[in-house]
Amino acid sequence: MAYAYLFKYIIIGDTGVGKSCLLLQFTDKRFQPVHDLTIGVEFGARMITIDGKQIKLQIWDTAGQESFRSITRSYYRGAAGALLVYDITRRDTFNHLTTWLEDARQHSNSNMVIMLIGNKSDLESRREVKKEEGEAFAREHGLVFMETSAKTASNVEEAFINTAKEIYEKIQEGVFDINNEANGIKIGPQHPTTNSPISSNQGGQHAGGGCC
Amino acid sequence: MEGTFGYSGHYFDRFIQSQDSSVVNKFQKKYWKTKQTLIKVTGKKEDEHVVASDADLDAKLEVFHSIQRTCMELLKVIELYQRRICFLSQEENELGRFLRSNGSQDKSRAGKIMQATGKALCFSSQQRLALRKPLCRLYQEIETFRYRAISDTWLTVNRMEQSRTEYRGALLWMKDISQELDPDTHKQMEKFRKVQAQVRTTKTSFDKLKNDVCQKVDLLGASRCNLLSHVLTTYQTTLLHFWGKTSHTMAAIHESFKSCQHEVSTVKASQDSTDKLDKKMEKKSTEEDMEEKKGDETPEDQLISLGHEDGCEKIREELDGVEDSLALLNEILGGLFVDDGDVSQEWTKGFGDTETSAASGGSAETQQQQDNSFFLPSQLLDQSLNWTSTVPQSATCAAECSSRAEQNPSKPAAKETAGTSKDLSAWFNLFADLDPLSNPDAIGEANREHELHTA
Repeated sequence: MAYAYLFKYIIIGDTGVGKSCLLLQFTDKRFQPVHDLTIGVEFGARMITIDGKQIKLQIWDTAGQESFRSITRSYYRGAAGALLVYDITRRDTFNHLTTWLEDARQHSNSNMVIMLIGNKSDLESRREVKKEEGEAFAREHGLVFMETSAKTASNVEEAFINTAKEIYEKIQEGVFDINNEANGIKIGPQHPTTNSPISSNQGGQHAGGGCC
Repeated sequence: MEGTFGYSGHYFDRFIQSQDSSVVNKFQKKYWKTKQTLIKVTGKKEDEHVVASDADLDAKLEVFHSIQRTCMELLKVIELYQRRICFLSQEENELGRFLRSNGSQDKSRAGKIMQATGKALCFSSQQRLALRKPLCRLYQEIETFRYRAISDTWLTVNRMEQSRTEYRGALLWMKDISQELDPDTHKQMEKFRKVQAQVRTTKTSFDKLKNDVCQKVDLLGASRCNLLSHVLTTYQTTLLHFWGKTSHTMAAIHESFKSCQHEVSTVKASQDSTDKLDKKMEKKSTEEDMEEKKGDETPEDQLISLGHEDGCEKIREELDGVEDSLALLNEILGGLFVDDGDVSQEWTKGFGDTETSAASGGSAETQQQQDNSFFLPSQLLDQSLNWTSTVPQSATCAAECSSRAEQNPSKPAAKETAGTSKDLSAWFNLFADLDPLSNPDAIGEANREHELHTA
């Protein structure tokens, strides 16, 4: 399957907030309560349709542990969208958002769409960060905000797709220069119904490209 | 808005390359490890986030190094302290023998007192040596602790450091390969997976060793506290025993000495009329002043400046000098009770009859307050119990924190001003600090001993 556009996403945030689980829920519609620690980065991909156009999301799920911070910084480059995730049951993950945001703004292009995500909304009884606080933070920093649960899949689709929509709108408005790959957007082969050389090249590839 | 699903790469190629043992791979691993070693050795700035992520480990290592260092310092301090005890005991014994031999030549009551005092000093000098046994024990325990526990932890620390270098090397490698990473390029992904596997293995081993080190250092600290608390309890008991016995003996002499003092005052009054004697008295008092000064400085120096060895010989000579002039004084003023009385009073005062000092406590204390800058040995010995308590305390401090330890022995005066009740609490605090589960019996005993002492 070919795509009209490819958007590069990165998922960032403290360790253990559920970044990998969000990705797994989005790509595989599964939830795994115990997840291996992400080493460096993992990848995921999924096709979505916006405005009748096939869009491939290439998602970079970065490691949240501090020792990988310098490494993950090199993954910001060329990302069109970012999911900044915190855990609503852990106040400290919310407190670190400013650092993450600074990091993201510093190492990515200025047009990158950032979606703030308060994950683990299913754990209402253990909530430490109010929804209003997340909203206020998003408003203050010009982000889109959403509370999700990778466990119940609540809002997961919406989080990824709304980000894509916003990027798509920016393309339509001409904010993104789609010919510059540094913006994290690639234009797919022009004939979506036929097998393009790119997709045949990707045939033996596991990461991300398997679906195309 | 319908999406078609792809799958993430997570579970397919994650472990593909983990067992890669090709020559190239080995060489690459070596290369990055060496690079990290070089960075470490040359002291080049390391990745701040990587360093920060090891903050807890580095804090534990700091504790470990402090334990290592302070144990060594404690050993040195114990050795010096032991030596000083020996010297002090020797001097005490010599003085005791001197008083006895001179007292036996004197058939008067003063002679008897001198003999009794001399006997008490000899006794105290013998008893003082008993302190060496628990100190020896402490020394041996710490030595064993160093050889066993510390060196074992040290080995783990070394293994951890090796593993840390490997892990950080792998991180460098990963950072390098991440610069141009494209998940849609097979070749790059293959390389990345290889490095990822390397990071994963080294991280696992490093995390395990990191945990080992943290646990071992925690245990090390706790076991040292335990060790100190146990061995120092024996020392405390011995010390209290020693002071209890000595103060009893001294108190007995003081009792007999009291009645003598009345005689002294009457004799003094009768003497006042005699010009010749008056002169002698003057001479004596000036001499005595000088001696007092000498006496003031020397024991203090000897007791406090644990540092210099050669100073000790000088002090001993000076003490000999004091003894000589005292002998001379004794000869000059041979038959008079008054002088013998004064001399022995000086010496009991100088050499730690706490009871005497307590009896004249009012004046001694005001003197202390007036003359804060000038530290008197009598003050020191006045509260000898408290002072000696600062010795193990300073030793523990040395164990805990060297800077505090350096302050403590040189400034015992700070503690001295405290009242006896405060002394007691300091004493308890010392052991409470060491061991929160400190033996309540030991405290009870300390209390009892102290009451005995102040009775």
